[in-house]
Amino acid sequence: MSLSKAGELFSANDLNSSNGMYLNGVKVHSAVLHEGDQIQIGDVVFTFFEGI
Amino acid sequence: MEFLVRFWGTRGSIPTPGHATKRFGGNTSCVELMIDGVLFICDGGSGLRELGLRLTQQKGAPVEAHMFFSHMHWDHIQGFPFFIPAYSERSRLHVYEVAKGRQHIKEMLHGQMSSDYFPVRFSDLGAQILSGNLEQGATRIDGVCVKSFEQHHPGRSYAYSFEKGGKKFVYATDNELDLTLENRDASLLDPAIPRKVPDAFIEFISNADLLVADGQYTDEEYPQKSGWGHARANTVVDAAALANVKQCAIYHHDPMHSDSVVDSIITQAQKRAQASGANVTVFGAREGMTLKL
Repeated sequence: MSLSKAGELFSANDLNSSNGMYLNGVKVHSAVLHEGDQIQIGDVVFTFFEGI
Repeated sequence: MEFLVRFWGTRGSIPTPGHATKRFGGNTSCVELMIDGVLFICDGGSGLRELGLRLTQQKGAPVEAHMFFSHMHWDHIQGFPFFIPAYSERSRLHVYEVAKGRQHIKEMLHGQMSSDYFPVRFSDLGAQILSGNLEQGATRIDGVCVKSFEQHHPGRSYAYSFEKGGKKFVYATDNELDLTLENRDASLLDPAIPRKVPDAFIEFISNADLLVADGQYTDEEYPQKSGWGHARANTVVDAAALANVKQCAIYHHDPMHSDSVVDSIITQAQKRAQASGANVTVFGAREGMTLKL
């Protein structure tokens, strides 16, 4: 998975992983992230915070 | 085989920029399909503007796109005058009609750019804009099998399916599925009962890997909006469950619905899907989300 930034938007991108990447439980290829989004890769869950 | 689906606009009726809608997005209908390098575009709402920007920034090669419009209401065409590839002489845009021998869509795109509405005329666009017709049954476009289905919406609308390499995508927005239910009255009295969706629609969406469908209303608000041309999200879920759809994106979010309202609609829809026993993943279509089928 990679994270990218375009303007003020952050995105998570699946780099063609075997098991895929999930955004809030939905398998996605990429997604623009918003506060509180959960990205799961395997057994690991990351929560996205936009910062203070 | 690569089959990518990206949401550029998910909102119904009118763009709704602002903090309250930023997660699901405020741009009106537009979905991009990239199937083995061939670009298909479903609807030209305001999301089309951003797709055009991305194509302009990323592609050195001329843009060639196959464009399908569910119908010609504003929220499905208003992005076209701002679609930058339409201004390039290197672009080729194929605009498809369901009705044979007509150029209705091209004429409507032309009409919204008349000088009373917009400073640039359609005839001044640089791109080659070609009208194509969908055949009865199926049409093959660059190896992709495309079918259409007439829906229930004021003035009529169409759903489209796209199939290649064993993958199937269905785009079915602005469809008041509730008007077609065989047990409509009973389902309005008791929204908990399963809704009997006509076989023709079930067949059209059957076994889709991804169904993108209009699910604008809650069960509670629908009775006041019957006849407006949009469906209850829970009706879409029942159809998806019956049709063995794998993933169902609730789409065409109401402009009055904030992200938190859409969240609650999706939560209810997911519970209904779970209760049905069907193996369908239900989620809310979000701008900037890409799925690989």
